[in-house]
Amino acid sequence: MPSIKLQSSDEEIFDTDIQIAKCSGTIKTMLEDCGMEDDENAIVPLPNVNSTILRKVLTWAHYHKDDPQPTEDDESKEKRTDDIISWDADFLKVDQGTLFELILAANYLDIKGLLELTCKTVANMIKGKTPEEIRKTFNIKKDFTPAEEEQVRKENEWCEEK
Amino acid sequence: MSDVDSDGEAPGQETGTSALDEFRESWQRELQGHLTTESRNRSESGDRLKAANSNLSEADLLQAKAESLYRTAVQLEQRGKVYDALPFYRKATQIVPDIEFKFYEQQKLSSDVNKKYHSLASDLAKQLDLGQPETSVGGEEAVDNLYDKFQMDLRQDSIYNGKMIASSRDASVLTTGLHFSDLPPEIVMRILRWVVSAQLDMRSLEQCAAVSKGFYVYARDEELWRLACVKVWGHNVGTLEAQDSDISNVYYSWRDMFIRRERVLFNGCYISKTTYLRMGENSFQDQFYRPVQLVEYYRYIRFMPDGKVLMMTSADEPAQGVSKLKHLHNVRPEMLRGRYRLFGSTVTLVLQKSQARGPGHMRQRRGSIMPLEEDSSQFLIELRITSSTKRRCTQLVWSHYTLVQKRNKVDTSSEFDLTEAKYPPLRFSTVKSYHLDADAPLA
Repeated sequence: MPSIKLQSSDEEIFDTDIQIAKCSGTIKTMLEDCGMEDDENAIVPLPNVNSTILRKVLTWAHYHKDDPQPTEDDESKEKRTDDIISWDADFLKVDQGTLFELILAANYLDIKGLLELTCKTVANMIKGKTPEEIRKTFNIKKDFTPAEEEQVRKENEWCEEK
Repeated sequence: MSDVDSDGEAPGQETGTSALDEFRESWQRELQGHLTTESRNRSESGDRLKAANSNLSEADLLQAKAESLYRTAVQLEQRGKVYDALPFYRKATQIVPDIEFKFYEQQKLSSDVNKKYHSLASDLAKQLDLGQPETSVGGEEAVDNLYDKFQMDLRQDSIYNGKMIASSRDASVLTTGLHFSDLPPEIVMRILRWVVSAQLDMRSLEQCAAVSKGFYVYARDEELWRLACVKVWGHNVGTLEAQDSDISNVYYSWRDMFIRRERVLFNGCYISKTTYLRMGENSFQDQFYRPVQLVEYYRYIRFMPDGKVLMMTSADEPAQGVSKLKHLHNVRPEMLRGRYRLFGSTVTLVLQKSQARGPGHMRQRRGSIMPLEEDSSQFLIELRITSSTKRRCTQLVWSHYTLVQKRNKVDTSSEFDLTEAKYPPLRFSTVKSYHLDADAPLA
């Protein structure tokens, strides 16, 4: 099985199966454009990802390497996708900072599946919460003046439950 | 006005002075003037101010701006609004670090010069739409456009550091983890698409808008609301100007259309309750015993944003009934499923009995009697969307109900008699569990 070497920002080298590395659109393009595929000793530098995060990303990619490619078929969309499978749920039992780092890494590495999964996880942390709960969840400062807050509340009145 | 001294401390030149006097006069007129003339005067003085500004050097401008901020802060503090004053102090010191001393020196200058500065500073403050003393005195004046205001605030306020969202974490405590504000805008928008999700959970989006200024700007993004409108009205969505309804509606944003235009609601289901009396069987023993049965049943209609609809009549109380409509992929045989479309204030539904796969198919293959006849009836329903006093679009009134049956390639349609007793209006009730999890992002 051919492998390549990925180098994280803190200069740790990850010997990675080429098929797994290629789930990243960024790495795939890099390999193909630079003709590095046949070079066993080529090192792909990933200056935006540290070793902790890269290890997690590669773990995810390894687990999902056999996933079928998403199709545009209407019937397959019918299938329920809202329950994040339990492996992914366990995988994402991380603190918020790590979750955000995973999002950034997935974005930089162009790993669509992981990006959607992580964004969905954050979205589920937001859905159904009150503004105050959201602020608490993400440590967000309330920067409205009382008048502004009241005006926003009025603008949003249409969807309030009565 | 052509040659103003670039020295910020003493702009006492004759030409400059007369111009400044003009500003002061016009500003004072404005203060005294009525509301109707105020805006005109303001734009006038604004124009003049701009003309004057072009002649002042940049250093002068900065100095004046810093002073106006500082002055606003002082005024606020004098009125006891210390917390409101703080950001102005901070901004002023950011522009001119030793503003406090400069300001003090200014105070000591002759009252004439001081006044000029005062008026210029206040005018500038007004032009920059920072704290206008007169409006804050006059109470809470609603801002027309919070979106623009917040965007400006986010650009100007230093606490944001060029980011959209301020952290509530204590700055003195060292934290290594990333904060929400570290996410780039395209990621935040992606997350919000998941929040809205294919179920169009706009309520959660509106809750986001009430979190902070940055969230407000994100959550009011027109593209999100446009996508939501396209989901609801499909090909009939039209543009903001021309709508299918007879009243020439003009919506000033996609969000406005989403809120005001008639549509069906998705975060719950429409329910009606029908009751009637039925004569029971007479008893042989007692001729005078006439049992009467009170029959009670519910009709449930749930609309999905993707154009699908489920209808069910059941004796189940709503508490159990709504949960039967929760899972869309696993439809029970007693449900009718189909598609709907919105036309102005009416919604039309085309429903069929859900095909019970499995046993039904088996029978067909074995060639039982008239296998095709089973599923060839269609229910055509037309409902009118009306609003209750409290909420929009929460009632559906029956206007047509037709059953079309296909038998031997001939369509026979029969109209149902829509009596009020048998077909009462359906009322909407929210079902929280329908929107708990996102199943797909808004696209």
